[in-house]
Amino acid sequence: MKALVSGATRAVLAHEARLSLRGVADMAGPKTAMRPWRIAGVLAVVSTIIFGVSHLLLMTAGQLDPADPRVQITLTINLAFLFVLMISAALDSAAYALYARGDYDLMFSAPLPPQTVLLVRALNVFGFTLAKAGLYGAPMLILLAVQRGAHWLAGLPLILALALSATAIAIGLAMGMVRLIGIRSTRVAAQVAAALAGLLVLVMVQWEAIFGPGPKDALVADYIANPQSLGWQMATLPARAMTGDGVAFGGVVACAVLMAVLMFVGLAESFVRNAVLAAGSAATAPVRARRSRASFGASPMAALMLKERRIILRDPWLLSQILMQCIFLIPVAAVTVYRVASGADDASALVPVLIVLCGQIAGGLTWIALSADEASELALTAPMDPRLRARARIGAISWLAVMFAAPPLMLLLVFDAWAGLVSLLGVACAIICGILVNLWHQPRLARTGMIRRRMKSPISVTLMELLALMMVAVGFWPLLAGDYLAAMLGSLLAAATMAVLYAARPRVPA
Amino acid sequence: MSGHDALVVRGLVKRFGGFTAVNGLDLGVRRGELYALLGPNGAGKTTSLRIVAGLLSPDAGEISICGINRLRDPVAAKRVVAWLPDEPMVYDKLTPVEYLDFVAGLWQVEPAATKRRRDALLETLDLTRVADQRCEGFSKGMRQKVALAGALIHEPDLLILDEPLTGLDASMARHVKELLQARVATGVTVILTTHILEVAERLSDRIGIIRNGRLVCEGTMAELRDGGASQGSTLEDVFLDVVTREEAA
Repeated sequence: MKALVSGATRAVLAHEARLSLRGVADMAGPKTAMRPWRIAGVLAVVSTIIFGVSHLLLMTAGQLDPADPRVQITLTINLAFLFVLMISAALDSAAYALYARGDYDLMFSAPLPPQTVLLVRALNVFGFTLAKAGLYGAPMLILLAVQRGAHWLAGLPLILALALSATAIAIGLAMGMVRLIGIRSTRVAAQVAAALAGLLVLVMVQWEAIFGPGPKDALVADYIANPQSLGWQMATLPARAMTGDGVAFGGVVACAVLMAVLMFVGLAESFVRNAVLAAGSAATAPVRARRSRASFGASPMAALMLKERRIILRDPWLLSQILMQCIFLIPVAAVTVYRVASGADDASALVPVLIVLCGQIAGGLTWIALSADEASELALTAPMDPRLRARARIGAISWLAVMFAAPPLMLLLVFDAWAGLVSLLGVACAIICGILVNLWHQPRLARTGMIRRRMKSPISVTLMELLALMMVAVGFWPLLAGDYLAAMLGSLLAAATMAVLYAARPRVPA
Repeated sequence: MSGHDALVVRGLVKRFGGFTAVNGLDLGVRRGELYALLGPNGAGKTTSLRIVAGLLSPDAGEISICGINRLRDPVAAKRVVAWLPDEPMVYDKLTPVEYLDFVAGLWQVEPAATKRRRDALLETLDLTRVADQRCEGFSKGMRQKVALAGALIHEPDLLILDEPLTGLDASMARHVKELLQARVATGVTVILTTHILEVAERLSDRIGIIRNGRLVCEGTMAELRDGGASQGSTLEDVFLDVVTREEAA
């Protein structure tokens, strides 16, 4: 125990904290490591947006009386989604922090007990999970406390306890998966699980829109009939903790601490064994590739596109990153088509979301295309027009975006020609804008660490992309209602936004 | 600028913010010559060569590669140059065969010539047995050999190598040195940087020593020895003498 709080532990913790801050700086944009004000600025913008969205959601939330069974069930469902998201985020982070950092030779050759390394890595995962959950959850809780009563502040330590539980579960899952399917597959599986969790949440958010209030009403009725049953007592524990029940709160915290201790005590040895395995995972068995008839010789652009396609199809990690960009489109597209086909009154309400999502997919794919190149200097030294390089890379993967966007657009055209046409044009504009914003504002070569982690693009670029896409949606949505003046004004706003983003693009020194 | 020289650099300047990495570099390398560019860490060697290879744009200066103005016609200049950095530029998920075909595709080498040269290079660099294995499991030396094969497949007139022997074992290092000398004998120009001064001394026709972004000393080994640059007898003595004198100045 003494070793766990030694000076060496503090040194490793400080090192982890520094690396984490640099990770945040990388997400805030290129070359921001030494500019805390810029990181703070990006966080302020993100927080403002989340506060704004939370405020809009609260305006439609009603009274939120803790004694109301419907409120308890709604809170239980939302907290369950939040917990699933926390576990998925923690799982991805755990797979990286525990087994893919590549610094075990240093860590295990240093005079440190392995438990210290596990403790520091676990704290890293916990911090990441807490930051992510806090960013989304804290603004809502603060607004609730201001508008509906201070007792809602109990939600803040509740998030902390849930993040601790999610960390313990994710580390246990990651270690189990490493033993079962190996290091590399675990990281891919963790990312796929994260994507599926996100997809599940999106589907559940739209649940009532698709299936009506029936299923939730049934849950509320069952809860009212058997509120003291063990199942409901356990299920509603976090919701009751959030609404000020001290005993429930103590129960949640006790569970979280117990899980964390069990994880730490039970898995330390397994961690060392797996880490040694991970340190040697670079030495893989040779993989033979079948010779293909496809030729690299047609043109430099064809050679680049063939190379990109081949690398994507052989790299499950990269493929999962690309598919993750596209997977979120499925529920929105399905709901939009369902509502248009069933002739719902507000059938086209999700068309702007569809437009923004397609643009984001194109932007995300552009980021991957521009950054995920292990030997980018090779193409830079090749005798070809520099513009062709970006076009070839984007061309090599943009077919995936088209593949995902085309079916719902075709169906929309079949069910409602006007809605389909407007959606088609809006999606096309959004895809172009998403690509352009990323071409203008992404660093030409992402940092090696970012490529290795396949991180999402910097938040500053994501925000600019979102702004441009929202303006595009604002331009096209009024067309559905036949409001041509509003559509024209919206389009002008979108064009002006793109012009400003073009003018503000960084002049990257060659 | 002389059209007979493989590389002519005049007044090259490159700044990164307030730091001047290359400060008015003048350099001339003749065709069919093996030229070693030496200098202490941070002297500006790699930056200068990256500018020549087309990876960076200079803030000032002129560059002519085999008579082609590199700044006015970069695509034509790149056609005759190959660049091999110290970190090998290979793709983990491609095999050596696919990598060489890809590089040949970028430089638009005829398919028949690609196959002929590819098989010869794989044989010469002892890569035939791993030709269809993905590069992801290769050692650094193996990756370096694949990258070197890539640099040679389009038969460049000017080959620029940054620390080409890093990661190679003794027998392969000798093999690569012989390969480079054989290329030079056919008229190819090779410029290399290395910290292994013995390699520069034994391999190169001429040697340039760069410090603070400027060429401070240049000539054959005999010229460096006899020209008053140093009283020492090895390149190491000459190098250390020149660097120490420049530091004092």
